[in-house]
Amino acid sequence: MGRMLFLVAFFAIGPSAHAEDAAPAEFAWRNRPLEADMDERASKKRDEAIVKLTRLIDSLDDGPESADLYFRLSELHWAKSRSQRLRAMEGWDRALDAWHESGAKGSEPKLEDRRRYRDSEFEKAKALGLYRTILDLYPDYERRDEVLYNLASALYESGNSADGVKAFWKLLKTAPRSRFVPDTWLELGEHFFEAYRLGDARKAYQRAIDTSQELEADRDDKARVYSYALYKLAWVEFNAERYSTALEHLKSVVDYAKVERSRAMAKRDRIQLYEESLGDMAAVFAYLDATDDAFEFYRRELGDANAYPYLLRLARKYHEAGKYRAEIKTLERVNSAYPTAPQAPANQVAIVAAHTELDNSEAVRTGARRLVDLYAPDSPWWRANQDDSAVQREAYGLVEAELAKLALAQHEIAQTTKLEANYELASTLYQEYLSKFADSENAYRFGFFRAEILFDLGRFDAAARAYRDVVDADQDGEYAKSAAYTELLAWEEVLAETDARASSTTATLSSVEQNLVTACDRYVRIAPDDEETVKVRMKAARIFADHERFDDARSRWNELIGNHPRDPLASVAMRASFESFASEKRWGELREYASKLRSQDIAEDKRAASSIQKTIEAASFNEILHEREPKVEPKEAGELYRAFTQAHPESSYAPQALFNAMLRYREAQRFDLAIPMGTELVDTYNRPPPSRPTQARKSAPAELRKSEDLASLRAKSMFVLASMYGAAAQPTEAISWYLRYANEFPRGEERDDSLYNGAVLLQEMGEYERARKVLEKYLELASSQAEAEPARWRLGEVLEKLEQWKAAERHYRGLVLSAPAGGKLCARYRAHNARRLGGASAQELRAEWEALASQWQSLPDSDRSAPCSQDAIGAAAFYALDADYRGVIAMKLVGSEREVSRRLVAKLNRVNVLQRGYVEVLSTGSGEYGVAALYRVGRLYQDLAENLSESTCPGRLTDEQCMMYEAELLEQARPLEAKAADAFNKAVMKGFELRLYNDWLRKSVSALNVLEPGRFPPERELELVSDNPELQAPTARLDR
Amino acid sequence: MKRIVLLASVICAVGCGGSAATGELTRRAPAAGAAVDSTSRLEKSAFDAMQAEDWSSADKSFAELRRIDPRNANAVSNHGVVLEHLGDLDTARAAHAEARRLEPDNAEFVLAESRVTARSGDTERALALVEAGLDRSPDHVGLRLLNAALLRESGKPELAVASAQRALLRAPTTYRAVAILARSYIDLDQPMQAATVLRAALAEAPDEASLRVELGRVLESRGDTIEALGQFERAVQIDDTYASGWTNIGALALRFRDYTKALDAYRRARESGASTCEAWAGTGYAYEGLSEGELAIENLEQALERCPADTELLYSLGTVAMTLLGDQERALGYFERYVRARPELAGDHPVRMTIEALKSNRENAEPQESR
Repeated sequence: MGRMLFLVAFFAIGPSAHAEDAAPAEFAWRNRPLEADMDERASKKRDEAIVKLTRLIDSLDDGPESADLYFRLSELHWAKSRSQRLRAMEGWDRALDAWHESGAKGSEPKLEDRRRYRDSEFEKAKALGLYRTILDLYPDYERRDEVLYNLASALYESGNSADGVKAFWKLLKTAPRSRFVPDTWLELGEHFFEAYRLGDARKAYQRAIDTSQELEADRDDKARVYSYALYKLAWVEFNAERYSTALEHLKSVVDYAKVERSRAMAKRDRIQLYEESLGDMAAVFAYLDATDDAFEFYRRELGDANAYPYLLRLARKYHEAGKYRAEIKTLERVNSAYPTAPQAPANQVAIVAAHTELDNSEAVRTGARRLVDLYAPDSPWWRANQDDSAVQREAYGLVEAELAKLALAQHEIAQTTKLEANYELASTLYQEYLSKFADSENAYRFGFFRAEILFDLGRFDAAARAYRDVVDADQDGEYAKSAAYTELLAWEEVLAETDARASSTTATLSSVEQNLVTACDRYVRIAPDDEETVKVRMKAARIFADHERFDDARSRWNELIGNHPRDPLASVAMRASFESFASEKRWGELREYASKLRSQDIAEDKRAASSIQKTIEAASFNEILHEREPKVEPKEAGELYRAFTQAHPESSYAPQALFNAMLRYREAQRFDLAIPMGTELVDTYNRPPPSRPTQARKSAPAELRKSEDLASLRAKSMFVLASMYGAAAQPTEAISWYLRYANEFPRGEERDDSLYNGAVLLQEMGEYERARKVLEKYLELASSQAEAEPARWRLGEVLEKLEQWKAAERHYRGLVLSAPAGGKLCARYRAHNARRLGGASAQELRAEWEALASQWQSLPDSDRSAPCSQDAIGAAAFYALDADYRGVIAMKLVGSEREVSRRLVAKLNRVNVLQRGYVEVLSTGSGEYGVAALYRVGRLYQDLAENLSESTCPGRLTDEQCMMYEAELLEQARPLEAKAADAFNKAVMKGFELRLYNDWLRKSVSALNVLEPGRFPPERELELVSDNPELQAPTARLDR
Repeated sequence: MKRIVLLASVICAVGCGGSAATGELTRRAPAAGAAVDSTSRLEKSAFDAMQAEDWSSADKSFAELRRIDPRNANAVSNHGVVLEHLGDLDTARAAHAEARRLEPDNAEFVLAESRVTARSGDTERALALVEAGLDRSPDHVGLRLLNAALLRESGKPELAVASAQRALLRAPTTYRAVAILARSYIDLDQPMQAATVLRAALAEAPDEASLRVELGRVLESRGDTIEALGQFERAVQIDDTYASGWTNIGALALRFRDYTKALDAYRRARESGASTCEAWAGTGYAYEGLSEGELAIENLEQALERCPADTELLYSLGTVAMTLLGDQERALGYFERYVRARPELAGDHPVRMTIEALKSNRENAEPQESR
């Protein structure tokens, strides 16, 4: 472990290590320089020197001075060997690189195969040979110890350490007082140290220290060996874990160095060793956890400014030793003491890293925060170092890099541990990073990573926003597609979690919904060809649709349909579009939209095509119904519907369109156009479907053929047709349609009205038998008996017209039972009248008429004055006298004188009684029977006068007496005629007054004209006139 | 003349207007706009006169208008209407024919020509014109109505029914078509049909007075006098200037010897513009019933003037003169005119007997002067 530390201390500090470690600690402790001369010119000079020296040796005789020449020649060959070897190494490196770059084709280059390596070996052999030659041939050569030292060093350096060590030992034995002894001990110390033979190394270094002081030598050499051996001795102790001793040795090195440094001629190696020792002491302090001592030592020894790098080294040693708390403490103390030091950001980075090692998330978060706060641009540190842009740049890079590394590492840990806290920390670190390094190369990637973490943490709102930032940063970026997609997933989660949907009754989307649809749109834009875009388009559209923002929804559905016509969702989108238009009642636009789809790829699918066609039909129909019809005149509306049925004869809307066309034409008073519509609907759409498709015959669509709707339309059409024909003065056709309706739709809503209307028309047309049957059917089926009351009366009238008196009487007697109170009297009256007209005698009916009159008396006043009641009481009063009237008229004044007188008296009495009776008829208020009664009164007196004047002369009277008798009778008849004329006159006047231009009036006039000849001129009958404007010239101007 | 024209054209080529060439001011022809204004004023005055039923003025204006702008079909046709009102049916017919020639597709012009042709007594030609017009304008209600009326006039009630029905399907509120239809049914001895269509129409338009009059006539033909009277009375309630309604009320009252009411009804009819022989005759008969001989004769004369072919009026006049006025000479005059108009009357016809008696009386009577 200790050895490892040593190695690290000298060689393993990388490029990011501390500044003082930038140069390897290669101070010149050796007596013999090791560097190779790589200069071409120098190499050439050396070769020339070798040639000259070799010639010189060859030209001279062997002598003591030859050894010196050999020594110089051996040194040149040794130098050349080293140079060639280094060049061979360089060439080998390049060959290896090329071999790797070419894909490692062929055999791998070897150092041994290189020419320069072989040259190097050759030169080395020459040098070693020359060293040995000197030692063999010139045992007394004065520089033999130096030759031996160089030979040992060369052997050791060339890898032959055993022979090298033997040569060193030989030197110590053969030249114990040589000036090379301290160095030889030093070499051996190094040899033992390398072999981790610490005890031997400690002795060897100690001997080097000792001999360097004992032997006479150059002072610098002494100091050099002393310092280094002492220094290495500290490391021996260090590796032996004798830290305090090591610390003491190092302090001694420092102290010695300070003494040496005070000398004017202080060598660089001593200064370097001084600095190395100071630095190495940091490792020792770290092992001793002597932070305070270290701070105290360095600041005392070096001052605040110079102590700084050593304190950092101490921190680093803590770090290397895994003593992160000590490291943190050290660095915090350093940064506190040197807040504006250029190194401060790096220290803070190290603090955060140490916290990371300690798995202290909160501290890492805080540390990262501090890193950003304290050392980012515009921080106090930044301003303090404003004159040093390089430091600023370095700090910026450092903080960025360290924060990046930290975040990535934390993210990796989180992914491994799956712990929420780790994810949280990673997220924070990414956030810190992004807050300051948004423009950095890592920012884009980290933004995505952070978003991913937030999503994994279930922080969907933040995740969504983070994903959005990623997409916005670079829409063509590596993570754009993924981020865009996950963003919308995140918004969906937010929506689901928070129930952040806006009320569907408002057109305004909630912020979350808006974000979601924006994310959807963005995704579609970024990844238009991705298979998920279909669903995404659908999703966004759905949100808009939920808020009835159908224009927005449809634009997305349309994109879906246009771009993915064969995707199952395209059909869904299409239907949704259709429904949206429908829900908005934008029928015209729906029709246009569906019509356009017909020519698009989606229509290649049969089911879609069918749906499109049906939609076009529905939209066209509703467009007319809701949009166009309200703006046009009824006739034009009818034409629109008509055009629809022509364009879409097989449409399920065709029957309704026909029906509407009929209604609109009817409204426009164009029955000539309306009737064909209704007829077509009734007849055409009742047909079975064509047996062969080629048959060009319309029929009801399958879905409508048996439907209630179609039946209802047909039924209504029949009724409307009937009413139109009725209004157009075509009663025969009207009757036909009414009865067809009742026949085809026995449960139809208009059945009762159809039957009734048909019956009324039949009655008016004089088709009484048919009218009777229809009325009877109506009365049998009528759903409301109360509403059927008029039909009952009408049936009575029809039976009267048919002169089916018994049936009529029965019918009216039935009405007596069913009619309301006010109608019962009328029904009785009609029944009596039917019986009368059926031939019942006046005598037979007398009691019934009297009973009717009695019933009339018991009626309330309101019922008495009703027209039918008036007729009833008039008829009752009148016909109750009928038997008596006929009896009186039948009484003839015949027989004997006495008998005639008796009969005359009797007849007069009965006339008086009847007259009173007829006066009572007048008092009923019935005009018709009043005139009749007056006529009857006149007729009674007229009859009396006629009977009187026509009575035969008694046989006992002579002719002359007879003449006188008859003259007397005529005289007596005259007042009777006057009474008759008076009655007739009253009848005429009453008739005139009441405009009762009837038979009673006509009879009265005739009778009066008989009694008063010339009272009325001959009857003048003028034709009734009517207008004939067709042939009259208009009075108004004619305009084109 | 040819040379003068040539010179004029040369002069115009140098400088029209004359002043530049001759140095004299010349009167310019009225600008086109001024001509149009003049025509418009004339047209307006013609139509204003028409509106005021000042047919003479309208005639002059239209004649002038036609002189200025003979291709103004509208003016030509309206001139025809004016001429109809003036009783000049031949000229009116020519005018309407000219209007139709100018605009063969104008159904109104066809209708006008057909109408006046029918009024001129050429029913066959009128029908041909109407049917040709209907070929071009099958939906024209006026033509269809006239077609139905003329078919009925021509003794083709079945065709009249079909035509009237077609008019009604085309325009259900064309109640004139219902009237023609009803009359056609009457012609076909289908009074019930007639009554039914009229009642149906009245159910839709209860205040259509003309329909009530038509229904009244139908009801009367079926013997429903009271109902008929009710319809006529309802008609004049709806429109108290409805002359036909009053006339028919008078006729019914007359039949029932209700002379006072008859006289009142005829008075109202005439006040309402009726100048038919029925109205005058009815008035005369009412006066007869009321024993107002002179007034009776006066009105019957008016009737005769309007309907000279109604020879029964002569008989009535004779009767009134004889019975109410005792004026045998006047009576003889009327009776003699009557028998001259009715040469088919048998030799023992009462009128001839009366004439003989009156003549005998005259011969037997001593002349006043000689006595």
